[in-house]
Amino acid sequence: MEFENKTLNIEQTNTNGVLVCKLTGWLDPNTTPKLEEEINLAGVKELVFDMQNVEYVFSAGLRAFLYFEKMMKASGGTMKLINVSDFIKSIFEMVGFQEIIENTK
Amino acid sequence: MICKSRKWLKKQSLAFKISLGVLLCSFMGVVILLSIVTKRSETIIKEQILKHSQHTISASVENISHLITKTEQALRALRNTLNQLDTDDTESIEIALKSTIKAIHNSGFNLSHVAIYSFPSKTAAWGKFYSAYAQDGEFFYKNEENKNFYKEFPWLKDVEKEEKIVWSEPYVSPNSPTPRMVITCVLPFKFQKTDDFTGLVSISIDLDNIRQYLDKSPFQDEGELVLLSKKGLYITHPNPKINMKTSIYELAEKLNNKKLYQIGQKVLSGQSGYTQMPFSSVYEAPTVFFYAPIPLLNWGLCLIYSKKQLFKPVYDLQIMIIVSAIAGILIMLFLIDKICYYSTRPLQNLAKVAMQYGKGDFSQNVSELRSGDEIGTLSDAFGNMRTNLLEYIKKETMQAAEKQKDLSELEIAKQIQLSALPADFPEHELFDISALMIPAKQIGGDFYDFFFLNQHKIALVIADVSGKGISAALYMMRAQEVIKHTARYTKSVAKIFERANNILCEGNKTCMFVTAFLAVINLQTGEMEYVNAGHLPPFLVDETGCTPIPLKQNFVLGVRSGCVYKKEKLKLKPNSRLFLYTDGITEAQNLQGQFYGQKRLHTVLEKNSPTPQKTIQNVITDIRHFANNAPQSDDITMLSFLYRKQDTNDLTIKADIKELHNVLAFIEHDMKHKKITPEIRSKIIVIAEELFSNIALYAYETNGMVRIKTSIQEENYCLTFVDNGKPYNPLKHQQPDISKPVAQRSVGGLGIFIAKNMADSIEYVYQNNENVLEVKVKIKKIL
Repeated sequence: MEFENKTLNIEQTNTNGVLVCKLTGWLDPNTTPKLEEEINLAGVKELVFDMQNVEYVFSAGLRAFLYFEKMMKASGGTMKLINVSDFIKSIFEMVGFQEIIENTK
Repeated sequence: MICKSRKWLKKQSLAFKISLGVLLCSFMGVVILLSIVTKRSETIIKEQILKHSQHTISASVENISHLITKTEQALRALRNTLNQLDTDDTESIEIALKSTIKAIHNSGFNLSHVAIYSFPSKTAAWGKFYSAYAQDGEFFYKNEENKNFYKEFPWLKDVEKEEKIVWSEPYVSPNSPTPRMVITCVLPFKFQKTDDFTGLVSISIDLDNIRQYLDKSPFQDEGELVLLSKKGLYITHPNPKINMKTSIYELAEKLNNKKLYQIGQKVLSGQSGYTQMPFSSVYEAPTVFFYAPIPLLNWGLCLIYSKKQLFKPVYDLQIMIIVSAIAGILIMLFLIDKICYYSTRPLQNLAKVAMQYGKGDFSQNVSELRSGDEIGTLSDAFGNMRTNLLEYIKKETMQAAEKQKDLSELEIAKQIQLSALPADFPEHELFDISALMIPAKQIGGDFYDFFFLNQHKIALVIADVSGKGISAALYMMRAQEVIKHTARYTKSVAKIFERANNILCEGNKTCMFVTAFLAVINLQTGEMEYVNAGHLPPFLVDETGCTPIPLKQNFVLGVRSGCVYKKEKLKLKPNSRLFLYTDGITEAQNLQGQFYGQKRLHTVLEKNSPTPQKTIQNVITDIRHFANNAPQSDDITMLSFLYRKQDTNDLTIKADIKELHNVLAFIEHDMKHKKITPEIRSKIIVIAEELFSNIALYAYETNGMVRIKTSIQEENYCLTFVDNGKPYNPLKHQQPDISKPVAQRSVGGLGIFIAKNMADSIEYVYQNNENVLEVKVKIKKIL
């Protein structure tokens, strides 16, 4: 079954302080901690999440983005999400996180 | 046409029919009488006419002949006188001529002329001419020398100078001072001392003379007398255009009338007779011709009558007969009508009384209608009939009342029997049921039954008591009650029948028995336990088709006490149907005596029908169609059950976040199976993730389980989470303030918020020490 053992894969590319994280998989309570564990924000001025291969973002994921947003703001950097599917965008909008996506525009 | 008039005649009253008959007979009589009278009177009149005509004609002919004879005698006398005279004795000749004309004139004949033509020789064309004539009572005489006879009297050429009187054709006399039509008779003579021939002596008669004689005919009024000359010239024709100008032959040719021509030929050749002609020149109408010759002159005389005029008396007679016959018939009809009316009036009254009898009203007696004739006899017979009928009715009424009493009791029994059968079919989300029993005329012993044993179990019964009539009905009521009662306190279906059998065997002296089928269905699981006591196996209809359910036959109920019954089991799939029935269906007969049979029933059941009501309706319609008004011989009883268990699915799993993927995989799989669209699926996955995460993270202090159920309810996908952790209503959880900027947000409560927003309804209840959270999401389309 395709739903079993869903994981999250993170592909990071750092170019002159712009960190692009290409995410593949789910952002659920089991996988999300991986984000905080793997992403090192040191020296990152702009954090970009490429959401093209993300199927689901649950509240755990939302919380993670909230965390990164806070971290980036604190260090004077920015964060944005790109290639967000309509469905995920609707979830962000539902909880009032549209500003994160707005940043991406 | 004939048929129609016959039908019409049948509808008419007796009076009318009799009148019509008499009218027809009278009419025929009148026609016969009329034809006889006409024929006879025609004959009589013809005979009379014939007589009259012959008389008229012969009188005329006689008159004319008399004139001719007289003239001829005078001519002969003159000839004789001349024969004794000398040629030169002019004086004597003058005397002879004068005396002759005087003598004849004096005897009443208006003679025109007496002449002597003295030829010097037989071949000479001219000679001496002596003539004397009478005019207005005076007599004149003259003689001329060297007169050219043939120039002045062309007709003389043709006269044979022989010892014989010759009559000329009519011609205009040149000798008379005024032109007159005359005929002349000539005779040769010779003076004394001459050898043989001297000349001719002639006497001319004015035609008016002859006409005068004809005018004297006493029958002139009744017809026209027409005289024909030797050559056929009309001499006395009433039409001046024809008279003296045309001959009968010419006229016949002109009119193309062969008959007229033949008449001319016949009469001028001396024949007499009569004939009829459709047309004549005298009367422009049918005519009768009588004709006879005048022998001395070789002339002809015709008497012409108009047929109409001739038969006028006959026609008058006919009209008189017809008028009097019509008057007579009318009077007769009037009388017949009256007579018929009065003589059939009792019959009409009788008919009225009979009609009332027919309606059942025997109050009026017919004795008052009595009369001596056949109608009287009929009245008497009616009276007797009434008496007998009244007696018969009295008897019948009593018997019928008794029968009615029996019948109504039977009817009541039937009603009681029917009312014992459940007629209210409950509405239930898990099943649908309908049943029908149509009792045959005779009260019977079929029954169906269904009842709940508990909240989740329903029992279905169908049974058929042997035999018919009140006893079967009573036994049926008992069997139904016993089975129902036994089922209430007996768990196993086999035991239900065993106990019921024992009870029914008690005191069953009449050896009645019941074939029965009992099924108990667990509505939640679809498991069905059933037992059969000699009854027909019910049909099971599901997606695999329509089959009799597999069963072993046990002994019928009510006969052998202590019998052991074996139960069987099967699992009803959702949307499968059961059809229980009695042999009243399979043994329904049509007029040809054929049975309805299982095959037909099978065919009907196979057809998809949405509800049990529809199934039963289909079966009964098909039986009625098959039976085609044949009487129903046995009770028809059936019960149709639809198991409608919802397609629920459930998963019981550890309330651990590590099971999240398994939970979501289960739900995703279930949704795909239920053909939910991908959009809705994503939505539900999000909801499920949030709710399961919530339970997994917060419900239990230590380990615990969560049960997840899915189902489709109406147009909703239904997801239920049940756990027996601490009572906790996530819906009452404080909502996150989503209006705050993202950076200032706390991270709690988002999951529930998302779930609540995405679901169409979400309900929490704590019952039986369990948290039950039910989420519904509308599914618009199914793939």
